[in-house]
Amino acid sequence: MTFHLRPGTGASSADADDASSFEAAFRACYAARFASLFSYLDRLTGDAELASDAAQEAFVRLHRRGEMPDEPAGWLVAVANNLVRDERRRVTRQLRLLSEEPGRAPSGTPAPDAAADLERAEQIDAVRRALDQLTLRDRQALLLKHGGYSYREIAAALGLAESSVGTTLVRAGRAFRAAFEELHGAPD
Amino acid sequence: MHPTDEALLALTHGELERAAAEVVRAHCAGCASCAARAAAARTEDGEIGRLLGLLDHPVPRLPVPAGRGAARRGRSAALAASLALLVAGAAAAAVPGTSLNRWLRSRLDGAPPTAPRTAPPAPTPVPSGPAQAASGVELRTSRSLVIAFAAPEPDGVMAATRTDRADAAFRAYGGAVAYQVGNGRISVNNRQPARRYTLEVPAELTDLTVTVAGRVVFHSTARPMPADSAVAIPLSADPGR
Repeated sequence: MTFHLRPGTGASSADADDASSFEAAFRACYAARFASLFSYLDRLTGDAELASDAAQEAFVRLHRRGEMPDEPAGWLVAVANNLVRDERRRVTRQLRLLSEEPGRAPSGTPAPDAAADLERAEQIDAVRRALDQLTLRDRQALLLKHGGYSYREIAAALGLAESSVGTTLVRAGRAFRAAFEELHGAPD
Repeated sequence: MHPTDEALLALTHGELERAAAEVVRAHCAGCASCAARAAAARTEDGEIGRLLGLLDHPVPRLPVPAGRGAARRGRSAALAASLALLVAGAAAAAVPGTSLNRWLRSRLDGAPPTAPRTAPPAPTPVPSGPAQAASGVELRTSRSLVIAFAAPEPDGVMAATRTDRADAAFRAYGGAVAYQVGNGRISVNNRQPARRYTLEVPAELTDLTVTVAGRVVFHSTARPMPADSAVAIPLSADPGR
């Protein structure tokens, strides 16, 4: 993700009032939405750094856009989902390139946190693996709902009809619980 | 008619219209089976929320509109690592103080747009010390690091040294260089070569790879980095030759 450091190009409207009102809306949106966007991406990717990058880049793109979309929260998620997808593809290519070197294994596995409670670590592992068993859309919908997004915002983010969000969430919740219980046993 | 699972979950989520919610509540009040289903939906949804919460990392500290100065001083290492910078024209514009994050903060703090810096023309490569560093990025990494130069530089050299700092610090001296940072990787778009670069890495870094135009020109397992001296890595590799 490369940014061009040209502040102001996103709001280059000749109409100063429009620009000022966009700036205010953008600031409010950032204040209200950065944390939830980051948290969603963090849970989705398991990579806080990538989540922070993608969340910031999504806001930069919103700023460059120069006007607020109808559903800003959903718009930001849709952009960030694409950024994460592209980044994952890039990293996969990079790992492939590096693995061509003999005697070299891909690195980057996070170090186990020695202080982490074993049960908690096992639960986290099971949660991550259970999520991995869901389809991408179901996983995204479940994480968005539990990240505080509304059905309308989820629909906008994932390109779903709002009326089908409930069905998606019921299915995703069941699949997640079943996978988690199989991996770890029933939750306490 | 009994409410669907979707309706019970939507009730839990507060997503039913008021009238529809009243209908479902009224039904549950008179139907023990559906009351139990509704309670189970709430419990299960809460349990899923608790489990997903186990995955959370702290939200990075970010701009506080009321505290511009404090926010700037409080830049977190994670954010510093995640910033992608572009230095166009004048490499001086890429010192850490002009990161995207600070730009965003300036926007969010309500400050007027920061004009792109009109720094003096970028100095041509100066073979002197870090005091003349023109641009740089830092990346929090402890294990592995990839530095990927987009293009070869026939007389370009990167000097890599181990330090006791926790971040990797990459600097270019002159030229106009764009950086892309993240996931243990610094991509360097050196279309206007700086020709001289330095890299400082944490002492515990086990794995440093340098590529030029996609070709590996240095790997620390093949050529170890001593603790007490710099390793000069030529950037002249040109796959086309």
